[in-house]
Amino acid sequence: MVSRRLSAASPALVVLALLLAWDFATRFGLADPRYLSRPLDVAALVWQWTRTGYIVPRMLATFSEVGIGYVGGTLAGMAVAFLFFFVPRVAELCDPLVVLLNAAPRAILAPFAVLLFGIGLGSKVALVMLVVFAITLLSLSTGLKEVDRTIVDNARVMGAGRADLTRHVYLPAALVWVVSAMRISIGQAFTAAIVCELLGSTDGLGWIIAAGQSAVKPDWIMTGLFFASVIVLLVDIVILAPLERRGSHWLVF
Amino acid sequence: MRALIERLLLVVALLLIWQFLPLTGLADPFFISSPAQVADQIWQWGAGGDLLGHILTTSGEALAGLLIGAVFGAGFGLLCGLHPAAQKALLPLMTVSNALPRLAFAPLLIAWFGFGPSSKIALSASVVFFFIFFGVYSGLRSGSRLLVANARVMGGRGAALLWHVHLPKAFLWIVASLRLAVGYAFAAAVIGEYLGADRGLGYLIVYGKEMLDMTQVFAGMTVVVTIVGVLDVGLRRLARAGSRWRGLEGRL
Repeated sequence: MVSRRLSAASPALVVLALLLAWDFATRFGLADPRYLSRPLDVAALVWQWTRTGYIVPRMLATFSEVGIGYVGGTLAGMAVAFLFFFVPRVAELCDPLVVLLNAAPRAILAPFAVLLFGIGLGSKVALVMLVVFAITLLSLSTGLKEVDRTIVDNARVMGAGRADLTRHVYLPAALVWVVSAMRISIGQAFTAAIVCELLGSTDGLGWIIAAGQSAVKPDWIMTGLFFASVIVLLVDIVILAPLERRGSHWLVF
Repeated sequence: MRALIERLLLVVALLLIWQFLPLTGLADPFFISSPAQVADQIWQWGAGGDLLGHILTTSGEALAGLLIGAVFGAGFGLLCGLHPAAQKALLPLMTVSNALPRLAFAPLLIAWFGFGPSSKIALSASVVFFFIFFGVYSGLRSGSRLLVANARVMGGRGAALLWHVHLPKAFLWIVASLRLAVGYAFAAAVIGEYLGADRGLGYLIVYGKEMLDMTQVFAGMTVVVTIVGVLDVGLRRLARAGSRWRGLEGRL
């Protein structure tokens, strides 16, 4: 009984041990709190920013960048995936570009985005869009190829044209793949937005982290990262995981 | 063959449009530079001998990160895959940490490890770690337990079981996840360099950005993307060759 409780609580114990190790390291001269901060300092700053509401506009800034880019990237990815599927010649032609797009994490393009679209909202939206676009395109391209031929043939026999097929067969089948792509891309979308903010911005969570870096305030960096992590986890657990669970029932084709 | 020619033509056409777009007044060469300028910039870096040094710096960081991340990832993966108590304690933490925006932790690592290569190695290792960890962990979990059970019946335990059964099983997964991890290791090194470095490809790119010199940004990015692309294609070939070998293994 005791051991079962212990094993259920063990992840929390590991976290506690790490926090204690961090605290002791800064207290007994193993690490410099000027660079490492202290757990309690970070907790105090988290509480202060939550209480004064200072963090809310920063979070909203990052949220709107990710939100706009996310929707745009998903739609664009869907459109191109359908284009590639229905016109294979285009897909064949664009193959090297897709390989290139897929070769590396797209976040390395951040300096580009900042130079081309400025330090405002535009550059982050553009980068997030590109990231989400690539993931959606790849996932959906694979997905559309896996739609059951029998269903397509049956629908054809019953007189379905290309428009009917798209509407009644391919789109519903694609939905599942889009949702799973959305779940994969959420982390990368936030990463892209924050990395872009680190390289040039006037607001957002990445801006807090960058400000903490240039002012050598590790507690700012950590608090910024804390809020960023909380957001990403919340979006994943609260929105996308249930969506995907429900979505798997739609996988009829 | 025809597909290859068509693709080449497409690339050439895109390059020509890029080169001559400013003539139409639709774009400003200040922002989009031009392929000729970019090629010239790369040529100059190469001729001066700087380029090789920067490439070696970034590759070295990525490689060291890959190695450290792979060793730790494999170690923890084995621990979690074979030890139920460790799995209960660590797996939830790993799943949560894996979802975090890890590349955004670069400023923190630079604050801890300084502007030198060690902070980039740490970033790169932290990214690789999770790829390998989950690769090894799911590798050990997957497949039939029959092999393990048979080996146990024949008296295999401890180090022998680990060496002859678990490690070969995990090894294939390590190879498969390494392919995915290489691009990310490289990108992590570059992003680490964006945020504070005095050499490396990321430094070249971000220096161009600070100077508002689009040619330099394009040139640096071209080098990075070429290296990552070549690595990706090469490793994919390797993985395909490896999977043939794995097909044999699967029959055991």
